[in-house]
Amino acid sequence: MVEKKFKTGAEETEDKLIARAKKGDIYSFERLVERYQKKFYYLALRMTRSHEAADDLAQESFIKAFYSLKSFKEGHSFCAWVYKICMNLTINYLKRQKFTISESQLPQGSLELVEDTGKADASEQLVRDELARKIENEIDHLPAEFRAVFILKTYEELSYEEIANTLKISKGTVMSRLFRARERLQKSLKGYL
Amino acid sequence: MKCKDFDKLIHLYFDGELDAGESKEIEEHLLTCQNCAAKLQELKKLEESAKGVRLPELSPDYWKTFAERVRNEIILRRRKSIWSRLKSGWEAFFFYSPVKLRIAAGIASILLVFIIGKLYWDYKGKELERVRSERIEKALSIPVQQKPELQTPAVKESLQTKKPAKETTFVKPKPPIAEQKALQISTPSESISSVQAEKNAELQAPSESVISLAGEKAQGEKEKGAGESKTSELKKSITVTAERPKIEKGVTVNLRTVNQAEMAMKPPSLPETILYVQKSPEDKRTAVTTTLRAPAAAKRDEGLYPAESVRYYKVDTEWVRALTDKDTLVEADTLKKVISSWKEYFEKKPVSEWTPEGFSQIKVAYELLFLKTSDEPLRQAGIKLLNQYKDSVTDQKMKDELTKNIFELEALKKK
Repeated sequence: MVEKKFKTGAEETEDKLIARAKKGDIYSFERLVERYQKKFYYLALRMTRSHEAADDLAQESFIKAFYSLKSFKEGHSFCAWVYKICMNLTINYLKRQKFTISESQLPQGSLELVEDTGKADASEQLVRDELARKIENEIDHLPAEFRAVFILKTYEELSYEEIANTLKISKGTVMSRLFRARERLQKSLKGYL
Repeated sequence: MKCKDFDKLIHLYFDGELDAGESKEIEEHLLTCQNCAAKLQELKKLEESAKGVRLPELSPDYWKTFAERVRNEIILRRRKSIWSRLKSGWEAFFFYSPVKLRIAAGIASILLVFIIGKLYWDYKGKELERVRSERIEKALSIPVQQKPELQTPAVKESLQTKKPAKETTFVKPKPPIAEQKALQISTPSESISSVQAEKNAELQAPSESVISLAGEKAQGEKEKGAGESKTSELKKSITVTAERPKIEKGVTVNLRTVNQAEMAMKPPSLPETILYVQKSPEDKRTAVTTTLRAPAAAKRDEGLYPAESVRYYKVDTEWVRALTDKDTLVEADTLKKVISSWKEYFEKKPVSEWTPEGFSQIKVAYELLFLKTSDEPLRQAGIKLLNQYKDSVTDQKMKDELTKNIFELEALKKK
């Protein structure tokens, strides 16, 4: 009955859901998870390039968020708060795993290249595929901290300040890491770019 | 500004982190510097290429169950977490917080000291009790002549209190025997006994020379509460506790409850009497000392007790007969008291009121005294005294009784 009640409340505001979840209402929290599940799964997937790891990390981020809800201050962005948790978990995971996956290790269907069907001819598509794979591979070889900044900036399109808050580092560090990450990628992709 | 200085600014410009003025400055520079314009182009190309990597679309079923799986996992962990949180909290407390650890260790130490102290205290108490018990047992195993050790401090104290009143007389009203309770204990293994005397009396006419402690207390109360009602009921209990030594098998010890109120109402004539309860001669080493302060319905197995109907002491002749070697633990002083009290009786009473019981009491007392002290002149004095009474009485029955007693006393030496 409780489940039904909250399942019909999809239009409910995030603040209300958070307030209920804070009181222990797990179904309200479930609604919040539904809203952000893709975002954090793909973030983790970009970072780890492993479906299993991304699945685990995304779930763990939400579970941790639920248990830490009391420390969440109302009026702040729930998404940004979970970003912090997720990135923290992911970076720790990568550090533990010393995560470096070669192309051969990459699980099937983890990442796919954009197929711009119809517009580009076959040879152009091949070059683009090659470049994308190369970039992917080079990103994987970046240190976890650099990779996190690059991904948050390039794919999540966060500002320097947001990245700094998420990773709990200074804005200057964000600038520095991003600059160096790009520099490395440009260096390794010199013949492709 | 040199071209090299624009390196980082190009990144900031590309990321939209510069304000309008700075952006304009960069834009102007880019128009003139081909090198910097190429760097900007590289950045754009890198981003485009990176964004060209798309992520796989997962099946809708996966997304439908994702939130549900999160919920289930939370519920599952909640169930587990009660114990695990306690455990992790405990670990965090002890392994990650030295200050807390020190506090906990301090509290634990204090508790430990308390527990050890309590255990030690209990042990010490039991030890003292045991030593005390042993002392009394030892004292009771001392021969009769060294009797003073037999008395517990409580008994000694009460005896001292009574001494001055030894010459007083006692007029006994009908004792409410029903109120007196004799407690029979037949448990040989018991090592402690207590004699409790309860007092519950109306102090209508308390005698000034009441010997008993209860009497003194009653009087004190009376003086204290002079303005109070004289008929007010005074309820006090005095407990005389004595450590009972180990009693061997087959020994029955009589402990009694004496109504102190009754005592308080009686004239203070009765000196305290030490009774040596001796069921059989074999048991004399384990005899029990107790105190009796008032006439009471004494049991027959008590060798000596104050008489009920007369104000003199009586020796239980049946009990004496039961003794095989005629030895006894009855004190010589007590026996002399028996003799003197009966002598006093016969002096004060006319011959017509004399009772043959007194003759046999005197005879038994002399008999026991002789057995105890082997004092021949004393025995002769007894024979002489009984002969005097024999000369005085006219009743043949009495004469026969006295003849019999004299004969028994004379026969004692021959034995």
